[in-house]
Order: sequence, then structure tokens, then C-alpha cells
Amino acid sequence: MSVAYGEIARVLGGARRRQVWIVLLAAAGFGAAAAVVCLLLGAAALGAGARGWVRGVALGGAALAASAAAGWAALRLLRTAWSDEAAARTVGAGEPALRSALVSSIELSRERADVQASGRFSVALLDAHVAWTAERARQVRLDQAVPARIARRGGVALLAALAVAGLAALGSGGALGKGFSRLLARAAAAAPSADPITGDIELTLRYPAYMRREPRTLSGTGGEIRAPKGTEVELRTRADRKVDQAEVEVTAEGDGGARPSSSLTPSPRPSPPASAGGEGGRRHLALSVKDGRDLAGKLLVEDAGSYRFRFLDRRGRAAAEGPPIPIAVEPDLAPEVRIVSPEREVEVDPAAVVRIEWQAEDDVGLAEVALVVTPPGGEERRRVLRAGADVRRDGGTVDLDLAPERLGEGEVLSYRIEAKDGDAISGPKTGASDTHRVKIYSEAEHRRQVLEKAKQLFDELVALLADRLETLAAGPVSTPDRLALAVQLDARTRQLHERMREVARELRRDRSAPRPVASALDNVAGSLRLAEQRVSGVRAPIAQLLRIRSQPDANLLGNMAAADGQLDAELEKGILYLEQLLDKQRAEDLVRLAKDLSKRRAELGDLLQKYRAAPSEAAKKELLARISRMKDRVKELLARMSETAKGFNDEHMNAEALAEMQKAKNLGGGLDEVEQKLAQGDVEGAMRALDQMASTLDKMLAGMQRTAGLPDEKARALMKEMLAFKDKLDQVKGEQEQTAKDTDAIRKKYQQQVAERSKKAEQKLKDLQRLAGEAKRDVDQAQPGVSYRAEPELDQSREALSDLERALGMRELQAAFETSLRAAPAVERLARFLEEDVPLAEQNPAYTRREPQLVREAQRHARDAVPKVREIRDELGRLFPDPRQLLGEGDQKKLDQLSQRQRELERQAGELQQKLSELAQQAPVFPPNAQGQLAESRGHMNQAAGQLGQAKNPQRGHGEQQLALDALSRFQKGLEDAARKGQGQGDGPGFPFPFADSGGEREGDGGDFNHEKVKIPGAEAHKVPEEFRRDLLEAMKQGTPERYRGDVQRYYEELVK
Amino acid sequence: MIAPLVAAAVLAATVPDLQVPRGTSVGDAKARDEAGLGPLQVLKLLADEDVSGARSIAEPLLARNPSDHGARLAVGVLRIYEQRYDEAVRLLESSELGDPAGYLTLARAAQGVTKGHERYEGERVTVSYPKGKDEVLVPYLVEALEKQRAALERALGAVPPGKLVVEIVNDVKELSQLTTLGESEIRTSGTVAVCKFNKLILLSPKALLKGYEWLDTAAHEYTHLVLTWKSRNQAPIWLQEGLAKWFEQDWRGGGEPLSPVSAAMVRDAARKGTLVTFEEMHPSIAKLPSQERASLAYAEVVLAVERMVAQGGPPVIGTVLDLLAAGKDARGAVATALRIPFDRFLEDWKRHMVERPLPRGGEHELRKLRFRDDPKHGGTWSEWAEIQDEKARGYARLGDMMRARGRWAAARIELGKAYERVGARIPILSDQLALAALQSGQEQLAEKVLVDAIGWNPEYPALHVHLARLLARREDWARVQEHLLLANRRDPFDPEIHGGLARALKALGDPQGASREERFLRILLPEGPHP
Repeated sequence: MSVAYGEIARVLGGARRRQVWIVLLAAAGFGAAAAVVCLLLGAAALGAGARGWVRGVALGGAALAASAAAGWAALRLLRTAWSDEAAARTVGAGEPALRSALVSSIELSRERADVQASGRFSVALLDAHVAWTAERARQVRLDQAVPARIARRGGVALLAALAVAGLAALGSGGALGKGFSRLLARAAAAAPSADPITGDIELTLRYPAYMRREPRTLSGTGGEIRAPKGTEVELRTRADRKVDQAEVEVTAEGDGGARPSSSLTPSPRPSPPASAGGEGGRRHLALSVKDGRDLAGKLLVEDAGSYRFRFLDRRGRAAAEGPPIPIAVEPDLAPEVRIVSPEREVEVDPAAVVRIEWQAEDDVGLAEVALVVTPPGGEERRRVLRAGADVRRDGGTVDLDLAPERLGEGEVLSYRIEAKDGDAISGPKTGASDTHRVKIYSEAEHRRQVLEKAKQLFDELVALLADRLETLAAGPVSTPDRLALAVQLDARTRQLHERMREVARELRRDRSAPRPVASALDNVAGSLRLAEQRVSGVRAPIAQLLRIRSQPDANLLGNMAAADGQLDAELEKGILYLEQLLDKQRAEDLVRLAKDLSKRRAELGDLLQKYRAAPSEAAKKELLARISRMKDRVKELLARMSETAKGFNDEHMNAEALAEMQKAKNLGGGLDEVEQKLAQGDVEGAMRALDQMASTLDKMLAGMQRTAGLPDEKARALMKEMLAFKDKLDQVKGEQEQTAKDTDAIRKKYQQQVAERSKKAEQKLKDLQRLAGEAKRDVDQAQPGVSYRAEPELDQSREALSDLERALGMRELQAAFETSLRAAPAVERLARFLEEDVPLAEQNPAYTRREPQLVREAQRHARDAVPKVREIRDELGRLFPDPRQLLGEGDQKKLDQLSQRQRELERQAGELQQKLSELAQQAPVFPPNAQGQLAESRGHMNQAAGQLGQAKNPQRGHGEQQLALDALSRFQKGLEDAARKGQGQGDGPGFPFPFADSGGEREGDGGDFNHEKVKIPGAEAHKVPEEFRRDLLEAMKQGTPERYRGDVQRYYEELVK
Repeated sequence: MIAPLVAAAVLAATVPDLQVPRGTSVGDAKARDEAGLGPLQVLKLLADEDVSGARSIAEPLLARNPSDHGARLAVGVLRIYEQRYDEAVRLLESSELGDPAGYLTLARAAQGVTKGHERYEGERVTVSYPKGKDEVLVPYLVEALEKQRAALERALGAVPPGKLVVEIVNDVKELSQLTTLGESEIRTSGTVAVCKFNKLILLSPKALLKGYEWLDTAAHEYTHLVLTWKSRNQAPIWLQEGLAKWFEQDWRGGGEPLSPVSAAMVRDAARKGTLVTFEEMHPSIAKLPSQERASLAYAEVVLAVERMVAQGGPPVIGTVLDLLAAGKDARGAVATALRIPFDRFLEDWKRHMVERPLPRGGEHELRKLRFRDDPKHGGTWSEWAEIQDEKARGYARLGDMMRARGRWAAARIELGKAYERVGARIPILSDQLALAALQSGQEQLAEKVLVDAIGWNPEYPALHVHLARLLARREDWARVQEHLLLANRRDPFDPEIHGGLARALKALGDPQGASREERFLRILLPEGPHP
């Protein structure tokens, strides 16, 4: 480094120092000025009563100003004085040439050694430049090159701010000072001692009188107070030093203590005044000082906060302060009340007495409990249930008599229980239960809801039919895609009829629900179920075929189309029937609504009469309230009527009835007039207006009653046909009974003949029985070697031979003969199968799954049994006579006649079946399986005619007759049950069904409708009576269908055992 | 007709000078005047609808004696016949004779009803109508009446000179006020138009739920006016009504005088012996106790005229009227004209009523009558109730339900089932089926059903409108126009008719007509007439 450069460095060092001072002073001046302004503004705001947050803003602003100033200074110094180059730029700020020379001199001097080593430049020239620059630098005047203007300005700013603050303080009349004291209070407050300055504190709590609580003393506490508002607290403690004076400073929680927190009781000595303007909500309670250290005093708890002990010197200045000790206020809660019963909303009759059970509780004590009732459109009424009991818990019941309220159907009265406590400090607090409601039971409303459910189902039925029609009309259901659509519709149908049955069950549980609707839903659901099952049954094989990509044949598709057609027909029938029924119900509802309105008008008339007899302001008020309620009711009814009348099939509700309803619209105007006249004091005028309204109402009601029952006309016509059907059914059944009775007479003769023959062939029968036993044993012995395919034959053979042996043992020739006819072919087949299986088994045992030896053995046993069974059959055939051989000519002639009668009865039953079908087309009132039962009966009648005619078999003929009668009886019983279901409570039958004689409705699922009572046998009935045994045996002799014979036989055997 | 006579009686009682001396002849005005017979004669002439005759007496009478009460009354009543209601009220009030025979009330009512009416002045017809949509009636009404006038002139040789005035009224109340018939009488008998007081009073079709054959009715009533004039009001009511009915369709070239329902009704009544007698028809068919009896009476009398024409040929009508005007009574006039005793004519007529072949649909209508007479079904009136077949009615109802739910294809299927059972005879069923078919894209079915149904029910407007709708899609504008005009004869306030006519006329090269119909369409659209 050269000397010249040292000169430059000196100048620059001086400049840097100067610059540092200038910048720091400027920052301090401006920063302080800005801070003063912020504080001044904050204090002014606080002095003017601004909220506490202003303090934060003001202090924050001041801090920000100071920080900003510091930041500015740092940045400034960095740029102007941090390095030699920066100082050079600062010095040469006013002279660019000098600045450039200084900067280049500094840089070149720093690199001089390198330059010298590398020879990049001439060192001499470099030194010369530095020397020249040093010369120039020496001439620089730092006071000019680094001016102090900005520092001066900062100072001026600070002075100005202070001056403004001073002037403001003088001019504000103390407000600014107060503001400053609020602004700086916390900071300025003397920090309380963290350590207590007293010993343990004894607290004696004296509770407010209304609480009736004993005073409570707490010793050795830290002084924390927790007590209800209004509690007087007596404090006793000992100071940790000798004190002249002491006090308690109480501070309330909140916004800086603008509001006094606790009031102090008069202290033993006058309390020093609260320090002016500085302490806000703090209050001071002088404590008595005894022996220089024992302190005592009282305070009254009003709000939460804290208190602290303060020792004062002789001049009343604080000598020591203890830490704050919390004061917590125990809240006195409002009473809690609840209604235990009834439920939040109950439906009752208009004259009901509602028993209200209530419970109330308060943390201190209940002063009063009251029932508050609000009638519809009326004012609240209080009825005090308890007063002055002053218990913490209470409860009881109160009867709310609704009769005097004269509430109408559907009106709602609300009530609640209210309880007050006895808080004498803050004032009584009231607690109330939830508001409960008593609704007057409205049958119309319930019915409406019920009908709405039925209506929804009805709409779904219509939608389903529409979907089915449109889907099926779009093309044949013979492709997988189309079939899938149809299957979806089937599923919907199934869900719908299931839901209909569900809703029907719900309706039956609802006392207001019209029974006919429930029955109708059941009936329609039943019909739909059958039709849907039929469709699904046909659809399944087609689906199967389509799955394996095979085209179903035309017959199958035809059957499906027919089943679809039947389902559509059932839907159509159901829809029309339900519509008629729903319309009828709605028409009846309209009449009910009109009647309700009429009744209310009559009540209003009575009230008006009473008012005329004894006018009073209260009566007038009540009248006007009633009119107001009635107007609401009229509006509601009109809306309902209008809603109900919508969508009527005009076949069921003619225009005249609907026009009558329109007249109801004048009723509101009539009521207005009544109200107006009454308000004017014109009772006569009001009566006249009411009479006018009565006339309109009566006409409307009469008109609606006359025309609203139109659906019944259809029902009446159907009823007539049903009655004729019933008579015909009774007649056919009676004649069938007579025919069976006549047949029975011949049957008995025949039985007698058979019995005589049996007696003569006793020995033969014994032999045959033995032979049957042997054959059975043969077959049993064959069992181990019976092949898989011969197993059914083995079972049949064994079963038939058992039956045969048993029948022979019982000397039942007919049954034995029939069984032998069954047994012989079965045993023959068994023997033949086994004969075929022997070579197979020998070839490969796997073919028969039996060892060849066993198969051979089995074949041998079976073969042994064959001649025995044949012999039994042939012998029985010889012994068992043809009925024609046993009965005389006269009896055979009679049987011919009976056969003809039976055929005639079958024809009549056919007519009945046809009629049933026609009636069912009109309305789905019959149980779903009624048709089947009639068909079954006809089948048996036909069989009976055959048995009596060609076969001349009175035994079997009578059996078929009994079965026919049984089917007829079940059919009749089913109809009676269905009719009973249809009978409502005062609704009338709803749809024609003349079968039920009396009795209530029985619950059922609608499908299995025969609910014949079953007598449960008692313990004494363990022995089967002889008569019963005989009957069973007789029954056993009757013919049984081939495939059920084995089962029937076993069944009877079990019964006999 | 009786009112002027009652007035005369009232007048006679009120003004003693007006007692009519026996043997006084008409013609000597001065003598009449002196005898105080002028006003009475005026009223008598007015009673015979001889307005010009009455005017020739009344005007000079008042000119000579402007303060005479009788003259004021006579001219006041004349002014009613001239539709100069303000003057009528003023004169009648100033006559200080109170309200003789209700003329003052009538004049005031007419003044009130026609106040604010629009007026159309044609060459031979003047129409006074309420402002608003009744304007759409005017051109059709004028055309029909002019055609009827020409037809009657051809048939009877002459018609009354001067303009025919038609007053269209809004409702039954106004009709009652202008005709002096009671409201209940009008409702019971189904009266929709009356020719009285030298004008035709026509109830606007908007007053009826489904309109009515308003053009035929206007022609019918105009015929009354002509007959009264031609017979000097000497035709008994049965002949008046029979002839009016006989001629009422002549404006559109004639047609079957009996509707199927009327033919069925009359045969049924003839078989049961419940025909309306000529005596019962007096003084007015409108006063019969029910619409059914009134319809029956109309059917009977038109068959009487049919029988008369069958026996004596068309000129017989003019002969009978001339004989009546000449002072012969009806029995004698008919007997003379037919050259058979009147009782014989009556017997022939009764036989004719039983034996006459029923027009198409008559058998069906007869069954319907029985159906409606059945107390089981009599209480309710519903168009669907026309379907006797219960199953078909059920299907129709199902179709209706589907239609209401916008399920057109399903509706078509159900309505189709009903249609298959009862055929095209039930107009509402056919119409609904056609509509459902149209909506579900089955145009051919819709057309077939509509054409068949129109064959059975040519008067059912909806069938024509829907067929026109279908034809319009094919741009068969001539047939569109034809069917819409047929529909317009019953339901002129259907905007679709006028909208369709506008399109059809435009396509057929009648821009003026199209423009008129477009205007009518705007008038009839729900938002009302455009400025």
C-alpha cells in the first residue's frame, strides 16, 4: 500500500463515521416522532373512551415506527458506509469524477501486488493515479460531502411530534392524560409480587338469604373464593410483616374494569378513594389491622374476578402487593323442567282428560310451578300448580281437561310446564319444559293419510300397467334382451303386490282405516300374485332356453303371452276396482268434512245465543276467537275438499256434487260478516248472517250426501248378483249333500255284502296274509343286492307288500285287492331289473355298484316273491266281487239315477264357476283360489258320477261326493272369511259380499284364507275313540289317487296307532 | 208474442180513450187517431212483427200529438223493435204510463245489455255483439243468414224486406233480459236463440260447455221471423217450429232433418205413447218442462212437416202459410192444402213417426236413451257413460287414466280395447283413441278411427279438429278447411280451428280469409286480443 492510499483511507474513514452518526440520528428522530404520533393518537382514542384494542394498535404502531426506523438505518448504512467503496461513493456523491477516482484507486490499490506480478498495467501509472486521487481527497470537506440535513430533519420531526403531544395534553383537559394512562397502564403498573404477603386465609361465606344455606367457614385456604352471587365473604389472615394499613383490591373480569366488579362492605375505616382515573374497575376494601399483622374484612361476591392484598405505608401509598387471588361466581341456574308423560304429541278425543306428569328441579329452590296452555288461535293461560314450596326437586301430575276447550277434530292445543326459582339477587329465573301438543283425533285426517297410501299404490299399479302395456306392445318377448325387460316388470309386480299386502296389514291395525280398502288391497294383491306367479312360471323355462341359445317353441311363447295377458287383465281389474273404492271413500270423506263444518257452525250459533242472553266483553272475545278459529277451519276444509275432489272419475262423483262444493267458498265471506256484525255489536245481524250460512251449509251437505254416494250404485248392482250367486251355491251344496246321503244308503248295503263275503273266506284270507308276509320277506332279503336303478322298485314293492299284509290283516278286501294290484307289477319289475343286472354285475361290478353275488341273491329272492304276489292278486280278484254282482237291480238303478243327479250337479257347479269368473271380472272380491276350489269340486262330482254310473261303485262314488262337498265347503268358508275381512266398523261392507253372517274380522295374509278352528285334543284323548278308529278305517277304504296311496296309507296307520 | 197484447190491454185499462170499438177498420189514420186506436193498432202490428206497418201509423201519430201519452208509448215500443233503445227508454219514461207489459224494463235491459256492443253492418244483416271473442262469429253468421234468406225466398216466394238485426248475448241472464223468458225456462228447455222484437237474439256459444249448432240455430230463428211475417203470425206453434226446423239446414244445402238422437227419441215416445201433444207445445216449446221434452217436440213437428211435404210436395208449405195469412186456421189450412181431413193427416203423421227408418246411429241412440232412463244410470251424466258395455267403459276409463299420466301408447292400447268392443259410435272414445294414436305415432289408426267416428257423429267438433290436425300434416288443405268449418259450426271458440283455417286458407290462395282467421286466432288465444 502506498502512502497516498493511506491518505485516501483516512478521508474515507472519517466520512464513514460521520455517515453512521447522521443516519442513526435521523432514524432515531423520525422513528421516535412516528412512535410519539402513534401513541398520541392511541391515547387520544382511549381518552375518548375507545375500546381496549386501540391500545394494542397504538402500541403496535409505535413499535412498528421504531422498527421501521431501525430497519431504514441499517439499510442506509449498508449502502453508504459499510465498505470503503460505499464510503467512496458517499463522499463522491456530488462529484462523479472524484467518485470514480476514489473507487478505482481503492480497487487498484487492493490489486497492486497482482498487477505488479502480472505486469498487466504499469505500476507507476497506478501509483500516480492513487497519488492524484489522494491529493483530491485531501481537499474534500466532509461536512459538505456527507451532509447532516437528514439528521437535523429527524430531530425537527421528533420535536414537532413532542410539541403536538404536549399541546394536545394541555388542550384535552385530562382526557389525553387518561388516555395515556390507559395506554401505558399495564406497562407502568407495578408488578405485583409473585409471592403472597399474607399467611393462610380464613374465608367465611354467608350465602344470600333466599338460598337458605348455612354460613360456611373455610380455614387455611389460599384465599380462592367460589360462591354464588350475593354471598358475603369474610376474610381473615395474617400479614407477613408489620403493617400500618392494609386493603384488598378487587378486580372484576372484563374489559379493563370499566364496570365495578364487587361492592365492598363498609370497612372498619374509611377506604381510601380509588385512584383517580387510573384504576378503572378496581375497588379497594380497607382491612382492619389488629396487632400490626392480623387482618380482617368483608367483600360481597357479585362478579367473577380476583382480589389481592395490599399493604400501605403511613401516607397511604402501596408498600407491598400480593398476587391476585381468584373470585369465581357459582351460577344460580334456571330451573329444569320436563314433562314425563304424555309424549310430545298425543292424539286424543275432544272430551279427553290428559294427565300430565311433570318434574322440576332447581339448584337452589323452586318458587313456583305452572302449567301454561295455549289453545288454537288463543292466548296463553297460566295455571299455578305449586307456589312457595321452595324445594329443590318437585314433581306431580295435573289433569288437563279438554272438554271446556271445545276443540274440533284436528285442532292442536299446546302446553308446557314452567318453573321459577326464588333468586332474590339477580331476579327469579324461569325454566320451561318442551312444548307438548295435544291434537284432537281426526278420523278424517287419519283416513286421508290411509287413503293417500292406498292412492300411491294405486298410482303404482297404473304405472306398472302402462309400462307393461308399452313394453309388451313393442314386440314379442322372445329375445334375451326383451325377456330381461319382462322379467324386470315381473319383479316390480311382485314387489308391488307384496307391498299391497303389507299396507293392507297396516290399514287393519289403524282404527280409522276403512276396512274395505284393506280388503280390496288384499284381494287385488292376491289376484296379482297368482297371475304374476303364473307369468314367472312360464317365463322361467323360456329364459332357460334362451340362455342355452335355443329358440323356445311357439307353444311356450304362446303360453307366456297368454299369461301376460292374464296379468294385464288382473291389473286392469284391480285398478278399476280400487279406483271405484277410493273414489267412494273420498266421496264419503267430503261428506264428513261438510258435516264437521256444519257442526262447528251449530256450536258457534249456541255461543252466539248465549252471548245474546248475557253479553259480556269476555264472551265477545271468546266468540271472536271462535270465529277466527272457524275461519281457519273453513279454509282448511275448503283446501281439503278441493284436494279430495281432484281426479274423481266423473262416473263416481257428478258435477252436481262438485258444484255443491263450490258453494262452500261463500262460507268464508259469511263468517266475515258474522265477525263484522259482532264487532259492531249487532248481535241480531250476526245471528242472521250465521243463519244464512247455516242454510248454505245445509244445502251443500244435502247435495253432497245425495250425490256423493254414487259409487254405491254399482256396488248395489254387484251385490244383487252376488246374492244370487250365494243362493245358487247354497242350493248346489244342499243338493250335493242329499245326493251323498242317498248314495251312502246304498253304500252301506254294499259294505254289508262285502263283510259277509269276507267272513266266509276267513281261512283263505289268513293264507293270503301269510303269503304276503313271505313275499315281503323275500323282497326285504333282496335289498343288499338291489342295484341303484332297481331301488325305486324295491321301495315300491316293500311299501305295497306292507300295505297288502296290513290290509289283509284288517280284512279290508277292497283295500287289499287294490294294494295287490299295485304290488304285483312293482315286484315283477324288481325281479326283471335284477335279472338284467346280474350279467352286468358279472361283467363289471361298477355298473351296478353291487357285487355280482349279492345281485344274484337279490334276483333269486325277488323271483321267489313274484309268484306269491301274483297268487294273492288273483285270489283276491276272485274273492273280491264286482259291485254289480253284489247289488240288486233296484240299487243299481238307483245308482244310475244318482249318477245322473251327480252329473246335473256338476253342470250346475260349472255354471257357478262361470258366474264366479264373470263376477270376478267386475271386482276382485273373491279369494284367489276360489276358482280352483270350485274346479276341484266339479272334478270330484264328475268322478262320483262315473263311479256311480258305469262302475256302480257306491263306495268310491260316495268318497268322491264327500271330497266334492269338502271342496265346496272350503270354497264357501273362504268366501265367508273374505267377507268378514271386508266388513268394517260402521263403514258398511264397502263392496258387495253377502257371505258373512256376523263376527269380526280375522287377521290373515290373504293367501291362505281358510282359518277353520282346530280342536286341540286334551290329555284324556290319548286313546283313540273306537268311533274315530272306525271312521278312519272307513275313510281308508275310500279311493285314493294312485300316487298318494302310500302316503295316505301310512298316515292312517299312524293315526290308528 | 203475447207482450204487445198484454201491453195493449194494460194500455187500454190505463187510457180509457183507447177502448177498441167494434168494426173499426185499419187504414184510416185520422179516424183511428180520433178514436184513440192508433197506439193499440201499432202494438198489434208489432205483435205480428209488422214493423213497417206499425211505423207507418206510429210516426205520424207522434208527430201530430207529441205530448200524447199513448203516442209516446206506441213509438217507444216501436223503437224497441227498431233497436233504438235510448229513444225507447226516453219515450216510454215520458209516456208516464209506468211500465206497461214490461216494455220499459225490456227497453232498459236492452239498453244495458247492448251498451258497449260492437256493431257489424252488412248489406242485409246487422250484427250487434259483445266486444271480444264473439267477433269470430260475425262473418260466419252473416254468411249463413244471407244464404238462409236466399233459400227461404226460393222456397216461400218472399221474405221480409229490410235488414235483419242479430243481437248476440253473453249468457243466459242477458238472453232472459232480452227475450223476457225466465232464466229457469231457458235452462230447462235449452233455449239458445229467440227471434222476437224484430231481431234475432242469439246466445253466444261460449255460454255452453260444449257449444251448440249455432249457425243452424240462427238460421232456424230467422226462419221463424220469415214465417211469422209470411203467415201474419197466424201459424200455430207446432207448425212454426216444424217449418223452422224443416228449413234450418237449407243455408248449407239441406240435410237430414232429424239427428239420430231425435229420431230415436221420437220413435221411442211414439211407441210408449209419451209424445208431446200440439196443445202442450203452446205457447212455446221453450216452456216445456225439460230439454228432452223440447227435443222430442221439435222432432215431432219436423216429422209433421216432412209428412206434409211428402203428401203435398214442397209447394204445400207456401200454400198453408198463405191460407193462414188469409185467416184460415191451421187445421183447415193443412186440410185444404193436402186435400185430406186434418185427423187423417194426424194419423198418417203418427204412423210415420213409428215407421220412418232411423238414420245411422239411431238404434244406438235409442239404446242410449234407455240406458239413461234407467234409474241405475240416470243420476250421473258423463260422456263416458254413453258406453253401455261395462267392460268397454272400464277399458276407456283405463285409457283415460293413462292419457292423464301422459302414457300415450298405453292409453292407445286401453282405448283400443274399448273401441274394439263398441266401435266408432261413441265420439269421445273414438276421439280419445285417435288422439292417443296420434300422440304415439300411429297416424293411420288415428285417421281410420276419426273417419269412422265422424260417420257416426258428424256433429262432434273434436273429431273434425283432430282429423284436420292429421290432414294438415299431409298438407291436404282442402279437407282441412272442410273439417274445420264443420267443427266451427259447433265450437267456434277453439283457437285451433281458426289457426288451422288460417293455414288452410293461405295454402288455398285466400290471403284475406287467412288474415282474418289469424286475427281471430289472436283474439281467442289465452292472452286475449292483441292491440
